[in-house]
Amino acid sequence: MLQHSDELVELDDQGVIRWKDGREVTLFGANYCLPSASDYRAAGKVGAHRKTLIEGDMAHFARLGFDGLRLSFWGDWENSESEGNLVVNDHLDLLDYLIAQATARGIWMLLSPIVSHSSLWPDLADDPQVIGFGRTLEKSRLGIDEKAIAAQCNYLRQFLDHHNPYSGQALKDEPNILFIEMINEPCHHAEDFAGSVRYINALVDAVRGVGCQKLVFHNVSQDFAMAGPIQKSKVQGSSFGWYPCGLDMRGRVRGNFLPSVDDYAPIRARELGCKAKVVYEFDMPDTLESCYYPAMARTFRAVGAQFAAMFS
Amino acid sequence: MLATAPFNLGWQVHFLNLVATPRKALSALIAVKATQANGIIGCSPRAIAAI
Repeated sequence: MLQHSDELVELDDQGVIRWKDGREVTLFGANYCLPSASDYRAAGKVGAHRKTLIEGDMAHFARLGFDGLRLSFWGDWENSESEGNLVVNDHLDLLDYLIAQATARGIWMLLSPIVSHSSLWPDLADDPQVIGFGRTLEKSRLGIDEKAIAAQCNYLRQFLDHHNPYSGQALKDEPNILFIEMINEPCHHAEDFAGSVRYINALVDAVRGVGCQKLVFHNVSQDFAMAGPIQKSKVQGSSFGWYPCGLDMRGRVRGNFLPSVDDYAPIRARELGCKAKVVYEFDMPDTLESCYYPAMARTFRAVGAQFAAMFS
Repeated sequence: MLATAPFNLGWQVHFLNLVATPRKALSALIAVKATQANGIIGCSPRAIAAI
């Protein structure tokens, strides 16, 4: 085993994530974003008590048999300022509550604490309360600007050190958070191999700097040319999105897509090395057929992905 | 989010639950079983048949 810690899962030398008793980790579920951004506002628009919604939705997760949950948290917009210092507010309180509720339901989590897309989408032109570094710093420079990297690392350290009052633990020690993907869908700069490795390692070092030993992932599906830097970096796995028939086509997509979901060849890329693989988002979003999820699940297992979360 | 699914907010048509999209939800439920079926999942048709 490459990793030794109090964490409940480990990465073996073949890049397979295993529970401490040796079983392979195999998790399936969905994304859930109520604490942040448009989903936070949507919950408000239907006049609902957000914590009650979380309780009901986690019960629904459990009823569906979901054991995997991907949490995207727009802390880079709504829970930080320009230098990355943590801002504690209702969004973070709801995240804490959600983590505790999911844990109580036996659900395992992939946490992405920097989203890098606007929290204002799609319904707001502005919100003066949104002052995070994600808003003040250009997304395309997050991986190359020293000040931006410092802000991200500062935020990650303070975020992971944050104490969850509902579980009694710091986020870095939450047992059911198995994986951390430091940033969702970053702008990659694969042409700068050394710089890409340096950026990924800075994020990993920020996580490890507060004593967090969770398995850490970096996105590759935004640019598969990043396989090399990811393999070379300290990160323990790569994360993938998969929308075989497109995303948000504004209408029903017709056809038989079973051949399209029979394989996801990029996940098998040799350049990724013996590292873990998770699918942070997937769907056949504009089809009405109900046959695709089992077929996609089969493919995920066949290509070595050990966590898959439908979006959203 | 069950409470907002009927209004199709945010990322359109992507909700997944037993109330608004029961066929998709049951498909996902089967997918959970497929994911957990260690050792039999692969590229052969017998994989799904064995669930």
